Amino acid sequence: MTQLLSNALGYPMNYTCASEIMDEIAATTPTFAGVSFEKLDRLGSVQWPCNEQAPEGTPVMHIGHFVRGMGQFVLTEYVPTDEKVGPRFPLLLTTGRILSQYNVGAQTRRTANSLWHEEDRLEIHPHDAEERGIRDGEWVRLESRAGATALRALITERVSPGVVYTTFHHPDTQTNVVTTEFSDWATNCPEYKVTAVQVSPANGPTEWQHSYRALNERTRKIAEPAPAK
Amino acid sequence: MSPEKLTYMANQIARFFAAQPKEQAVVATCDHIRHFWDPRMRSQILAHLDAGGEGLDPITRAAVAKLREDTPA
Repeated sequence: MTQLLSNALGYPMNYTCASEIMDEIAATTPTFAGVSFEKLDRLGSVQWPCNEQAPEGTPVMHIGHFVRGMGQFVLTEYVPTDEKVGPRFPLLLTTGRILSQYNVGAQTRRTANSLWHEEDRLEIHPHDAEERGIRDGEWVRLESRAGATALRALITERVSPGVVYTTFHHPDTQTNVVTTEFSDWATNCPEYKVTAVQVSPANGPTEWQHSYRALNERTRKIAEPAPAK
Repeated sequence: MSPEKLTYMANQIARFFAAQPKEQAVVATCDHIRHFWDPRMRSQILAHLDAGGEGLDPITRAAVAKLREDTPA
């Protein structure tokens, strides 16, 4: 299939078997120069680099020295986030995934493990919940400088006082409405683990969640088939 | 991207390297921008430098000036 697509797009690709692809990798990548299907069949597995210096691969890398010689220690400055808690947003929100769900919603939401995680819940410590009059299972409004959403609370000592946690698996919650546009300096990775928030009791989903749900239903509706003539 | 946002990001890079001798910090900051920034972002920060470079910290300013020297006009 890949070859057909490549040929159709104008890049000729006419491999007759996978070993020819491995041979091409070996010819173009110095650390893989000694790898072939014959060697992989004979040895079972080969750890790179595998080349003239290490014909059977390198089971343990960096013995005695690194690629550049000795190691180098570099003094670096800590670059803290500018996202800070304060009187308006006194809690710190961290977001994450749960293993059993792990992004199935980002793909099709049609695999059975989506049943193990029915909704995003806001995990909050009993002290923080009591201070705000929040009871387990009730709707809460989660608000930051960036935006707000609503979800149900889960009171637990799994999180420390001052910290709340939720997952970002469900479009009805859209946790990233709340996270900020800060990112880390080196990779520009969005800062999903540090958002200053406030949590308060709520009557249900926010207004945008209602309109999003309606939009979602409308845009996924399949038209009735036209009657046969 | 706004000049303010680019300045903020460039200054963060320079801050990470600030503990190193100034010349090394300038080279490291310049290298990071050269290797990891989108070409459009590089053009924008160069234009910002040409317009006076408001807000650029000393290491950042020197790093962007070095990027300017190394970039064909």
